[in-house]
Amino acid sequence: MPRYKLVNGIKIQFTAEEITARQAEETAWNNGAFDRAMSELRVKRNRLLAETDHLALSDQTLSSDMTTYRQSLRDITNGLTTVADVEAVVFPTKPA
Amino acid sequence: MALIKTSAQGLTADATNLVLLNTVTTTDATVSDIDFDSTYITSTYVNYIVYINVKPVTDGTNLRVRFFVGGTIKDGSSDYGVGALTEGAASLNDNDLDYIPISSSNIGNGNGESVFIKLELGNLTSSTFSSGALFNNTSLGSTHLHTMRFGSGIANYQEANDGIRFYWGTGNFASGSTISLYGVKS
Repeated sequence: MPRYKLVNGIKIQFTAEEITARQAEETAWNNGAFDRAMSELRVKRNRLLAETDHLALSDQTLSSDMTTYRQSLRDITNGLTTVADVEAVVFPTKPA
Repeated sequence: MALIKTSAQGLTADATNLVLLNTVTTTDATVSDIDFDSTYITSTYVNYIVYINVKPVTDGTNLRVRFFVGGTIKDGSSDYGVGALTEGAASLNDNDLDYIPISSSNIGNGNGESVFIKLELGNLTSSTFSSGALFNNTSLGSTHLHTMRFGSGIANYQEANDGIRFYWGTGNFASGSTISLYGVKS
């Protein structure tokens, strides 16, 4: 299908050179999909860890459930190799 | 800020005159770039505001802007610097990019998904001061959840720009996507 640019509202068809250049950019973007997904996953994981950091201070006793929860968060990126893997991740439930 | 239509030429804001230069709307899904050239980006205005209501054909992408100098696109690997905060994602801090990403990275193409962006372009036609971009977007992302990005970009060159290009990280604009360009009277 032809691609176009809209210049001041006027539709102009891409040249072959423009198509090639754009496809190269799009390939680069698509190739970064897994890294972007993992980055967002880590941001959420780190936020959840930070919410319970205070329970892991040296003057606190961390419950077994909380220890398991925090370790699950740390391990949540293990074995992920595709965007679909990342999107299928289910975060553990925070202990009461 | 309230906008009051005062003439056929444009809108008057409280303390600033905004002049509507052009509004474009896609009528099909074959458009990859939306450009405003030297017809509208002229020395008449040094600052511009752009209201962007767009949707991608391809799910999970971001909207980008580049400038033109002398009618030639600026797409060198270090032409722009960007800093941005994005909801649910790592902050962006990159002084060497070939474009300015003005939206979240996962704009959706599903029913109701789209992005609204207010983009302010400062010193765009100045050859003395670097051209800057301030952007703020709200959107429904590819998982139908709200996403947000705000931040700024800068052109790493001191040349007067005479054009703007909007395009997606991948794919085309969906039909009905609209961009309105305003010049800001000094």
